[in-house]
Amino acid sequence: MLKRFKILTPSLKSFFTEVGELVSFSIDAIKHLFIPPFETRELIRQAYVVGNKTLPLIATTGFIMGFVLTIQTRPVLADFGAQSMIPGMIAISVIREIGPVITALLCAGKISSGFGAEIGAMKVTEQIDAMEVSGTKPMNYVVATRIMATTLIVPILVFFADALGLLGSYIGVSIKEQMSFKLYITQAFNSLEFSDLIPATIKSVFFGFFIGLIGCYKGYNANRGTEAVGDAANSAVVTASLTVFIIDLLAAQLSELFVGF
Amino acid sequence: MPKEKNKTLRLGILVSLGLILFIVAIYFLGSRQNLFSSVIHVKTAFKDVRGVVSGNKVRFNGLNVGNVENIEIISDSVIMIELAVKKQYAKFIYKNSLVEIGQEGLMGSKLIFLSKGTPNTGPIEEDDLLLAKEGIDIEAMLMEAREVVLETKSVATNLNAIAQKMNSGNGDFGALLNEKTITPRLNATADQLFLVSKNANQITQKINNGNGDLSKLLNNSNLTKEAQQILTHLNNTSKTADSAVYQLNMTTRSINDGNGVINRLIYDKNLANKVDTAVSSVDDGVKQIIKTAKAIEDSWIIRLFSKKKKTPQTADTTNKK
Repeated sequence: MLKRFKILTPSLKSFFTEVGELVSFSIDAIKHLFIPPFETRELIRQAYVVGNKTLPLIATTGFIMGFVLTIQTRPVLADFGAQSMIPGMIAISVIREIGPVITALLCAGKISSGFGAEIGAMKVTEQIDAMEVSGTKPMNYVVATRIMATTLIVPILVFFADALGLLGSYIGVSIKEQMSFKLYITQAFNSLEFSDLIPATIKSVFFGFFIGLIGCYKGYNANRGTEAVGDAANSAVVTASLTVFIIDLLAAQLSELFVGF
Repeated sequence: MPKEKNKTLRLGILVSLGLILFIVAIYFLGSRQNLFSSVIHVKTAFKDVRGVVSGNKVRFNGLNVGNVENIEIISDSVIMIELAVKKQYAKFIYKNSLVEIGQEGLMGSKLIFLSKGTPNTGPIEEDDLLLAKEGIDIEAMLMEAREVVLETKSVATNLNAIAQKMNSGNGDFGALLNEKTITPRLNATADQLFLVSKNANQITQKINNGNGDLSKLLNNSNLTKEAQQILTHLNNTSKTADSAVYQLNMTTRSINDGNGVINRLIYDKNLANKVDTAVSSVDDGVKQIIKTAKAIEDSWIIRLFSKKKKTPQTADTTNKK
């Protein structure tokens, strides 16, 4: 059987092997999401780490993104006398794309790398092995809780990023012209449809799931040695960020297919 | 343990706030699409829906009163659009309201406009069919604009040709633009006109100041009165002359037509001959009388009784005789 794959280069072989292992790990992790024991306390702890510890970063970035986007877009729209389109345009941009993607990338950088480094360190220091010996299921305790936490919390972080992005945009608009917040929100939501919010939310769930999954996978499969911890963290960031863009691409195509946008 | 509870609380707050944001967004979007308000469904049929999609706004008097619920193709030339109109506005939209497809600005999305109906037809009800009206089509406008642009281009080409001709000095306009002697001539003419106007100004000033006969004619009202009197006299005179001429005419007619002495004197030859003869006779008679008188005068009897002496001259004359 292996003779058939001799034509593949070592790097390609390594890539496909990793994809296979990732799929296998994903199936295992998903399975453990529904198999007791449910580590609720660890889930809450991880959710707190993912949510509360990341919120300031996400909030600040979301606010700045909304503000900068408005400041940069305004002159172009002003040339057409279409300043009134700013709220709608920014709302669509932030809610459809910028909010979810920026949040996911930040989470990939902060959470996925953190998971990779933490679990990698646990692997290097043989804590994972110790858990298995002590009867604690590491897949349940370490992996499932983290994946569940990111899957649940990343969409919530996206809502915060969206809200603060719109707030930043409103402040960006208010610098140049008089506009009430109520009018801004009305104009913003006048341009939005469910087909903007729902696919973005579903996309965020997938972002969260893969960010947690990749971070855990990279850490769980880290080599022995302290250097492997750094590699796992680094590899987790890169792979998770790439995965975010691939999911985004697929989500755009699928939402066009199903919703028509 | 308290630290863990604190973490759980914070996480709970975070998740709750996140979910509230999501619910608020859903509410805003849902209320805009009439998910949380009761609506009335009305239908209308178009030949061409020009890109209207489900969810487009329905506008009445500038107010968003609903949205497009469903679009269904009935036949090759009929497309049925179902509109969801908020119940709170339905009482103001009447059954004979017209439905028109429009657009929000040049770049905006499609809109459905409901026109005002008349109250006597009553407000719309569920499943009413409203009449459609062909609205302003941006594409048609653009086509028209294209034609205008083409015509403008043609006009510009013609203007260009005219400008070229003018530049090359063809025609009167070209000469006007390119000929350098016209302007000096015009300047000279203008100078002369200026002098003429200056003179005219001086004349008018003199007239206004009362100098000269013309000024008196214009300014003195007595002349007019005198002229009027003269004209009145002249008129009377002419009337008298008319009368005299009439009388003369009557007299000459009488002379011509009548049998009077003057008529006969003029027209009767016999009378003329007689008169001539008579005059000759009278002449002869006068001569005889003179002769006789001379003879008497020269007679001695008369001289004897007369104090008058015979003058030598007289004597000579007498002697000669």
